[in-house]
Amino acid sequence: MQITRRNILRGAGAMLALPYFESWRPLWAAGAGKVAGPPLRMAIVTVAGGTVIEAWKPEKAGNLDKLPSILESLEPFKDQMTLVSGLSHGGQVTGCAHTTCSRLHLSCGGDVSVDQAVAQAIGGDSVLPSLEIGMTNHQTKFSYRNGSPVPFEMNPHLVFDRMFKGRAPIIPNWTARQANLAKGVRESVKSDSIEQSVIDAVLDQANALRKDLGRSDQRKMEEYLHSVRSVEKRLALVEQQQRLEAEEAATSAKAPVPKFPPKAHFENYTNSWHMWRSPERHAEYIRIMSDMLVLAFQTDTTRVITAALGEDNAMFDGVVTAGTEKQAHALEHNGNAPKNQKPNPVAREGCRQIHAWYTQLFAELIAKLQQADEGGTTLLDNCLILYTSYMADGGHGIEDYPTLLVGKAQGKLKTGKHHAYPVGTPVANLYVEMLNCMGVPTRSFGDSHTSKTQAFNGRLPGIV
Amino acid sequence: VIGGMVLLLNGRSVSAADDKGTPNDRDINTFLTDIRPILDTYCIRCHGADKAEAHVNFAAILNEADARKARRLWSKAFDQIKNGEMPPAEARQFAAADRTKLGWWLRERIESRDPNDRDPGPALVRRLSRPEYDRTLRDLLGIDFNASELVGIPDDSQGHGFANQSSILDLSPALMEKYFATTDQLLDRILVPASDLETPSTLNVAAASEIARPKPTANEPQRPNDPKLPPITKSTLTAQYKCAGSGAADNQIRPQFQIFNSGKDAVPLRELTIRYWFISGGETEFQHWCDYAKVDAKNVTRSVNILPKPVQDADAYVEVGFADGTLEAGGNTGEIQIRVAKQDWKPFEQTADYSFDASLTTFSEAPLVTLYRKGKLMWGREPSESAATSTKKTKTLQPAEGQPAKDSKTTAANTVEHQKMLKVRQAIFIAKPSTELSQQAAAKKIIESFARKAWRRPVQAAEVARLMTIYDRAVVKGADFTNAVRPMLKTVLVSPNFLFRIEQDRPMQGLETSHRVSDHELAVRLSYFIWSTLPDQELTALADQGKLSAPGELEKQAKRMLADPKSQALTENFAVPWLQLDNLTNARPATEFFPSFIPSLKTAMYQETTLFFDTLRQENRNLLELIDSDYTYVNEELARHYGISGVSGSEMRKISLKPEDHRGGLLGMGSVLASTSHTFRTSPTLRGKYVLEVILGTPPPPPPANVGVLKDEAKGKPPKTFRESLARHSTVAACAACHKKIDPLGFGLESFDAVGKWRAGDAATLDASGVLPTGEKFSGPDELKKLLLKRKDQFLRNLSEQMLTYALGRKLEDCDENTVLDIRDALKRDNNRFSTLILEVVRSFPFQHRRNVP
Repeated sequence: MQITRRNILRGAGAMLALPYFESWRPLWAAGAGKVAGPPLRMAIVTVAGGTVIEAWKPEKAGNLDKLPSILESLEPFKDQMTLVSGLSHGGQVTGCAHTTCSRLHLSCGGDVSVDQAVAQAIGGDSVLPSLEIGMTNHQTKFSYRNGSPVPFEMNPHLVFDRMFKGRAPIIPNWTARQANLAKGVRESVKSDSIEQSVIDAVLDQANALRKDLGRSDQRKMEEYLHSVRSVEKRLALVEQQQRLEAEEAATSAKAPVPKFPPKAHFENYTNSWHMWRSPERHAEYIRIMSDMLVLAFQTDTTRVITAALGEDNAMFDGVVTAGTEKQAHALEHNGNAPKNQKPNPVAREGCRQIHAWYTQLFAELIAKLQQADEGGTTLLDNCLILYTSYMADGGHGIEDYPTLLVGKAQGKLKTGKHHAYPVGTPVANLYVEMLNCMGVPTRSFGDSHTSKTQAFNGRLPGIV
Repeated sequence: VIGGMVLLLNGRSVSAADDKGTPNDRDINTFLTDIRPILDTYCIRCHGADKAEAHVNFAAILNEADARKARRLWSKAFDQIKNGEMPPAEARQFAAADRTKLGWWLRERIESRDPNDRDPGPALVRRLSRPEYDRTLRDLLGIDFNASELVGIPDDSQGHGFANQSSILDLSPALMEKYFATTDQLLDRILVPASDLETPSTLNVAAASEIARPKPTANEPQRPNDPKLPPITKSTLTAQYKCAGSGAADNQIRPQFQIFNSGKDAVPLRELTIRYWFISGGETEFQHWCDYAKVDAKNVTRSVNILPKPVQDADAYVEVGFADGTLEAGGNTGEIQIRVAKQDWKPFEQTADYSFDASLTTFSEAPLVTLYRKGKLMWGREPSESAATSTKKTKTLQPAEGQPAKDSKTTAANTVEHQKMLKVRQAIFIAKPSTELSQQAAAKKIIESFARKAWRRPVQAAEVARLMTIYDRAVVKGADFTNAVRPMLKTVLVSPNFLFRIEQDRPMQGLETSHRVSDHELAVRLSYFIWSTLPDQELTALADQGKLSAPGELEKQAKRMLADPKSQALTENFAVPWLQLDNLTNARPATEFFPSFIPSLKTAMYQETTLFFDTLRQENRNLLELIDSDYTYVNEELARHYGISGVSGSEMRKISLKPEDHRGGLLGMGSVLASTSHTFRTSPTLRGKYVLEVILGTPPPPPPANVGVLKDEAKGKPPKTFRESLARHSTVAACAACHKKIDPLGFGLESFDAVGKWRAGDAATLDASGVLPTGEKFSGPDELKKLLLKRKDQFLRNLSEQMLTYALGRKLEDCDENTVLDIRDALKRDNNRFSTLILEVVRSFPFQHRRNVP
């Protein structure tokens, strides 16, 4: 399958798009015999505000030596990291620069983002095809399906409820799980429940409506149909998962469920303002969302997660010790001047401190993934994690993004290296590599072959 | 300065132009011959195929037909040229003859209206926005249920648009899941168990005022309303419980509580505690949450306590208390939702728990949940000390010994919440199976009527028949009447017919390009426009009779709707996004620099603006008061902030303003002033942008990419004031074109500090003067407001445009330009009354017509 903008475009594409979504493999059939041991998972952890490139990018390509200051806290995981530099987005930043950067970030000008493309291919094997968690302000529209943004869930309680509605958080014993799958314990059957009757009825209604609507309205109805089908799929999956997990109850371990911070800290998560104001709260939030990520992977609730963490409007008292300005957005602008002008060095140092802080929290997440045993391998071994930001720098730059892969992706990545590509190499090339890594054979993605600066035939030579 | 254009400032009617000696039969199909050369000379460099700044590309207009269509472009161009904003100062200026020629042509172009060539624009399918969904459920069922907050339905608004625009209302799988979840929760809540309706309640209400520890009683099962039982005196404090979990093998206990105070005195919440008794299963560590509490989850304290010795059906209890607050006489706490889980998330076997009762799926008085005041048992019965004596089977049937009992049915039904839910249920279950009416026939009646209301249109027989297949299947699966009707109700509420507003295309007759919408469609358009919810009975009845569109009736209805409190939706869903009031929540000014800028002050600022807008509607006032008014709303805190004396108390009230208060209108409001400021200072740029975008409807284009903010250090003399440094905007060519328009407007508001306080003291350093691109000079907010009043045409046009956008749920197009101008002109004729704005939208062609969707 080739994921290009064209084959999922709208217009006639609205029609094309549905079969595309339907291309999820028959629920368990394909996975059963093939996978031995834990599956491969992918996460994208994306923070606000770009980075400070001189404190992020090592001077030399090749084996990772002493890490630049922003990455220092990742020192223990150096041999499991692949640092990729020089990647850039093309196109023009118009309108609100933050919005444009968000739109480009994971989609590279296409109608589907890399996480959703992976989810469409492998998501059918788990209870949730993918999970999008983190801040939900207007700028974090990162994930797209068929040109429409996928909403992010900000409230960790709701994330938890979504994952474990009707099932317990248990860690599968992957040997037993594979045996059960082989036995067909989790056969794909249409649910026999009354809930399924409800779903059938509304699908009928939407299909009837669609016939009588104009083309642009049909698109809305198709979106509805797709969404109801995903509810249907989930219903079947949960029922199957219940059978499977009941079978395995004796052999499975309980997942350690993280302690939620008091809700009062976040005003019921309806307003992120409370966390922006205080780095302690902000860190507490990032930690609980990181815990949700680990839990989701450990319990095989999903295999694809996008976590949007950090916030451009946050205040960083105590984290930023340079200067008097503590607001990230102001620091980002002052620390990143337009061309031919010098940035304010104090503000730039502030930005560096913020990114070192984000990375410290990211390192905690990596440590947790490494501590999670999956029967001989660690969870981190079975992960492909991309750590990045939706802008290259705080001045809405789109050149030379911070892109760091962590995890060996079950041995598919040659880790421990810094790959420096010429600045301008499309970010899309990295996504092509990630898609292939995740078992989605594709030659192109987004603008990998249409960018003005296209390079390496849409690939990143040397990283796999 | 502006030469011929000045003549064009006022009056759009052709006869007015005649008075000034201008031809009115001018041929306007002269774009290629007369106008193209002018545009090529002055405009095309920035607004051509190469640059197309602000998305304006004159090169794309190739012929007279294109020129005829581009009404919005000409209208905007006319305003920009008139205001001296285009061409920018550094660009080549119009020769007088060219300006006059272009000016007349533009005006004629804008004026020309062919009544036969009307196009209502596209009317697209729209999903209900979040507030519409909430209100629709509320009005459909008659209960206050904040559906979207409970399950976290995301906010639809994107940036600063209205949330009801078709183009942004996507329906993702995640959102669909939430609609399913909301519907389940809703039905859980309103479907009072059937037995409550048809037979005496099975609830045993063994309440006690001053109850002694109950002794183990005989385990002979007795009906709660058994005449053998002694009567129970009722405490003035009662606890209600609802079981939100399924019970068996759930990994969480999910009790929900409410406390009622039927006494004459208020009770401090601090004195009250509730215990929910359960079996720990050997665990000692528990996690627990309060997911929601009407009295604020933050205010709810919780602990799980293990008993030293197991008692009847329990060895642990959750104790729920309160940190603060008061339970008013006759009041109740509202819902308190608790969840408890084991540390390892192992399931509970709840069916045997003392307090657990799966039959209570709606709030009911439950004596097995105990309520204490200052540690003293006020309500319910504690479990017996002997773990062996009782079993779960009999527990609900054991009255406290020696306690007076009341007829349980009456007691249960007495509770307000229970009554309310019964009513809601009865409103849905309009038919009851009886000897004359089969269960199937009753179910059909119920769903027919429910779907009719929920789908806001007559329902076809085939649609009902399809719904009934679900009922039949549920019956086969063994569901009782209620539980067989339930999945049909759910289907109706997750149906596209409910979640979307759908208008069907219709075959066109002859040369027709559009048609009048049906009365039912009109009723829906009207009610979602003015109320953000479904049509009420009156509208529905008129639509059923085909009378809604009758002459006079539509306006009568619109007026009635405006007078209804439900029209407050216009403030929340129109005014708040239009005025970008939500920015206030996250306004940047920090208390470090502005200690008074605390949440309560922000709330008062927010309310000032919303109350002000409410007043415009309720008193049908002049909309120009948005620019300047002699009244506003304050409480003591806000009045002090504004330097206005004589206001005490925290409630907001209307006050008259004196000129020396320098308030009145939006630009004197803290909400606007604070949300356009930086952490520690004002931002003339953001304020100027606000005036251009929100008030005048001419948003400046966003800054180009890779442009930073102003640098402090630059060559030459360091700037003395922030204003001087801002003045550099005008020296960098990339910035100048726009900032010359933006910044002066903001300078006019420099008399207010970053949180909207009047800066009386800094007169020496303060410079609140500005010069507009037209050369008009002003100083301070009062003169700025006068200047804006001079541009009232532009303001009213913008307001008309915004309101029409909101009503139609889509971006305006060229074909809407005439409608916008019609609304504006009607406003001007009628002293800019609020109701005129609404009525003109309702009267307008696109509101009453639709064309088939391509």
